[in-house]
Amino acid sequence: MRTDAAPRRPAPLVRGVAAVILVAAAAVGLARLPGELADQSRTAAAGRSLQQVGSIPVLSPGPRRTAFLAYVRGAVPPGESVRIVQPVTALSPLEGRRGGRPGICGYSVSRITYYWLVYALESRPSTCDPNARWTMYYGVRPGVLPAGSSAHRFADGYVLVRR
Amino acid sequence: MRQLLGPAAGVALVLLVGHGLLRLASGRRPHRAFGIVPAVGLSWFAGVAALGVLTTLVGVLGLTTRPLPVLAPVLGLFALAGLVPSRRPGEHAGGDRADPAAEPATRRPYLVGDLVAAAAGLLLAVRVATLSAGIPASANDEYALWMLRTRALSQLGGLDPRVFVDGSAGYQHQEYPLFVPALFAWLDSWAGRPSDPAAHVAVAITCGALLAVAGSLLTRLAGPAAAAAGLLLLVSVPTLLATQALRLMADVTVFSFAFCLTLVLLLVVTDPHRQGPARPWLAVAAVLGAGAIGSKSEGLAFAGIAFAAGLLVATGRRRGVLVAGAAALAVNLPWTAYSRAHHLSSWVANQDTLSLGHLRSVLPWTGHVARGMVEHWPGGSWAGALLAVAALVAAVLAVRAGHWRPVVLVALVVTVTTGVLLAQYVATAYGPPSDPRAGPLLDSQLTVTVFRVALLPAALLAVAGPLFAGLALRPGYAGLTPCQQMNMKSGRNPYRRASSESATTAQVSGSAWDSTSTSSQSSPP
Repeated sequence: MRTDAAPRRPAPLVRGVAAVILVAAAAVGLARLPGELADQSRTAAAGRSLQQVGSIPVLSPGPRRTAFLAYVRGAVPPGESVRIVQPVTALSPLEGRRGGRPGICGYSVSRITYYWLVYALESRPSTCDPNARWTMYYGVRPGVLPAGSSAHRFADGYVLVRR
Repeated sequence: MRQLLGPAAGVALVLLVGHGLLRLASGRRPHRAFGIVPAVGLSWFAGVAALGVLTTLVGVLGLTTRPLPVLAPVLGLFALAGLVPSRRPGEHAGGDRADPAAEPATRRPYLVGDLVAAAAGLLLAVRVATLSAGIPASANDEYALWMLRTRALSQLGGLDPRVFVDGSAGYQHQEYPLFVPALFAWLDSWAGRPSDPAAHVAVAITCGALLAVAGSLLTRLAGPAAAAAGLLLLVSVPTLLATQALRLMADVTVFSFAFCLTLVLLLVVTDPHRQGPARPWLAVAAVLGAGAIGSKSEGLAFAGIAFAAGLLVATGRRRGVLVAGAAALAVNLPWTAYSRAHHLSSWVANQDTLSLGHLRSVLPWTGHVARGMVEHWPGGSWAGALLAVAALVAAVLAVRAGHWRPVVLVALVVTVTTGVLLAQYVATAYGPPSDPRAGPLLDSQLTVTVFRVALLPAALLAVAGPLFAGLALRPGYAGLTPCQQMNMKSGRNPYRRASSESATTAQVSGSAWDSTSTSSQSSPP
């Protein structure tokens, strides 16, 4: 048995306005949803169509350079650091480091390419150490190699050097 | 075969761990405390949070972040904790005796809404997983940040200082928390090798859990019609499905945690009883808050703002909200300590961006940033404007019906998170408007990120219309007697007298706590 006042039923105007809002909200959702789902299907199809070389997706560098990355990944044991050398570009205003050697380990290079290289090498961290055992030249011809080192020239400017 | 079964086992374990954590934290069986559908969705979120906390902890302690020998056994204990029968009062393993605080079996007011939420979540998870499983990581932030850290955790087996600490090689956002990479790395390990498909499945499940939890909580707050409309708006927030659900990044995860946290806090503050079984929901709030903080840097702001707003309006439950917020923060302290110890400063709030001189020079960007945020706002079209107007009208109706608390809470979360995001863009501007590089950089930043980081306020604003409209149809204080309203306003239990007179007195529609409290009061001791 209820001993207090029963919940009051909202006024007809309130019910009417609330119903209009609910219907309008559902209509907006229904109007948007097909477009979102279609965009999703298109985006997913484009992503799935990416060609891969040795499980590395072929992005803007193209299949030949991607094959070089796959080669480096096969040659350098997991866990070993790799010194990455790239062509020098203007220093990005987004660069957070306060100094570095241009062209080495992502400093004053195409950052977007650098991060892609680092990721593509997977469990082989990037290092700036000039004495690193492995150095990957990506679009740069190596100079005089240190004594005792060996180089695998994949293509002109695409070389893996082992000290 | 391991590529398929391994991640499936990893996902199942995350769910079971979450179930166990919810049971331990709430003191109740999750499906009884929250209902089956929200319990499943919340178990996923809790499992992700537990995995993230533990991975971070073992990493910070210098142990391996691979499943063995530490992670999987400890998580297994959590999973077991959720499965063992209990003899604690109020917690019954068998189905023969009813949990006195549970939904009455004869009346399941949330059944329709829960079924809709479950169907929507399941369909979305399957769709996203099917579409995305074949997509390799190829977007900038995927490979430069989230999957890079994922592979460091799974392949290097821990917080390798060359990746996580050393700043010389230019690794980005080293201060970002680890929950998302931890989840992906966990599935890598179960797959036996780096697996982008497994990571995509994790994102798909997160999307499904978001819909299941949001739909069922909206049902409890505002009824099934409002929940259905809210779900439609949530799932159609521009870019959420079209791009973000397909990306291996943290934006969907931090949004899901923060959005569900806000809904849970709405449940807590709309309970007029003050003596209802709030603990389970506050425990959920703590778990979701921890997940938001541990997923991405802005999660700290999202969770902090939600808890602060909850503190402001949850009269009579402030201590509980405070404890939940503190717990969410506390479990993330190991990463905070690690970041501080290794000087991993935030790119947003650091001595450069927060210096008075810099702030003075970039302050003129405020109007430009505001316009850019409006331009790139998720759903900022005519439909978005219509939804905002609808939210305003519905807010008036809800306040008139006595539901000022949820209105204030949503308004605070939307406006303050938007303000914080705006301040973040202004503070991180490269330089003053006179610097020719600053404008293009800022515009690029706005274009690339607003649609991702503003998901929380955008989705809340979109859903606010149906939520408030649903609340307006369910009287709050307006349904109380003057005496009860007075008790309510003074922070006391409005049903003190009534509950001692009659068990059914406490039945007031419009509250998630109707059935639980009524049932609790009417149950024999």
